[in-house]
Amino acid sequence: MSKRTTEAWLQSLRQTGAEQAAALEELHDYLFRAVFLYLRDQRRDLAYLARSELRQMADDFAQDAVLAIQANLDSFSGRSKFTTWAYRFVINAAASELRRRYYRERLSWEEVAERETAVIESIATSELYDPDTIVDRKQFLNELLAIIRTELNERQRFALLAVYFEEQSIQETAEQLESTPNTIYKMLHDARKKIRAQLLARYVGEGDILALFER
Amino acid sequence: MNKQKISTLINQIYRSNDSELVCSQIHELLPLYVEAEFEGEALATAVTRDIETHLHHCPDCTELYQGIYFLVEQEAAGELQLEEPPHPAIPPQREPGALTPVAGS
Repeated sequence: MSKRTTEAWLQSLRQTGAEQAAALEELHDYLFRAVFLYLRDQRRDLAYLARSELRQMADDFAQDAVLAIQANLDSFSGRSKFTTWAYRFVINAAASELRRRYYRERLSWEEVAERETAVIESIATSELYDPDTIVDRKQFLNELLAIIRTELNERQRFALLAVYFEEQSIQETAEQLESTPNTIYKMLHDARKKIRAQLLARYVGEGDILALFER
Repeated sequence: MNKQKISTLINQIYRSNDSELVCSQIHELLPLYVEAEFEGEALATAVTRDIETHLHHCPDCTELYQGIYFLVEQEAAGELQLEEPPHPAIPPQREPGALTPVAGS
């Protein structure tokens, strides 16, 4: 672990000159090692990369994290260790950038509408609608889709379909809608509450619905 | 679309609380939450519930939580240990098994 205590980190990073520079360099080296281990051991999607490429990536993420930490140093509450707090920035730097590698092209609203239709049609024609499917399961799905179409606005529908049906990240959905992750999360929260209210009005509870899909 | 996704969506809908924390709020709380979990301790019930509800609904924050937890584990296992910087007058005393600096770091 880092030889510095939380207090030592803060004291040095808040200095100017040589002491601060040395602390920043040590912080970079520490986070470089940390994020390298994360990329190597936790990111199977990067297994094809050479060690040198992983190290370059780790260096970039460590640099980004050090800058973010410097900018946010005054917000450190001291309720956790400094190093744990710092891990948040380097993991965020890595995870955010790696998500962007899987982004699809930014869509126009016409394309959004087409995707929404395609996703809903895929639900309607999925295995859940096989001839042997129980009638009330089919009825529930029709009602769920009707609720999504009538109760949610266009942006909520897109976000819901993207995140829950297409398993897209909140970050990518935010960028597609030219919004922020916080706003997308709130949007999805509102959508969930609307759907829940409608489902509770039509069914007794979650167990009744889940039972439809266990048969 | 399959049964798993529908079941997950239904579960997500019914596990919605009237108010939920947003991602930036969770980012502030995750270091404390991870440390407490690693130490086998518990935060205040309401805070824990808020964090776990958000993680249940947010794949991005779940990824962040898992990454921070991994690094806390690595730190505790000594995998992030840095060597002592060389003293100008005294050569560094390398302990057996100490990690060598990563070349280029």
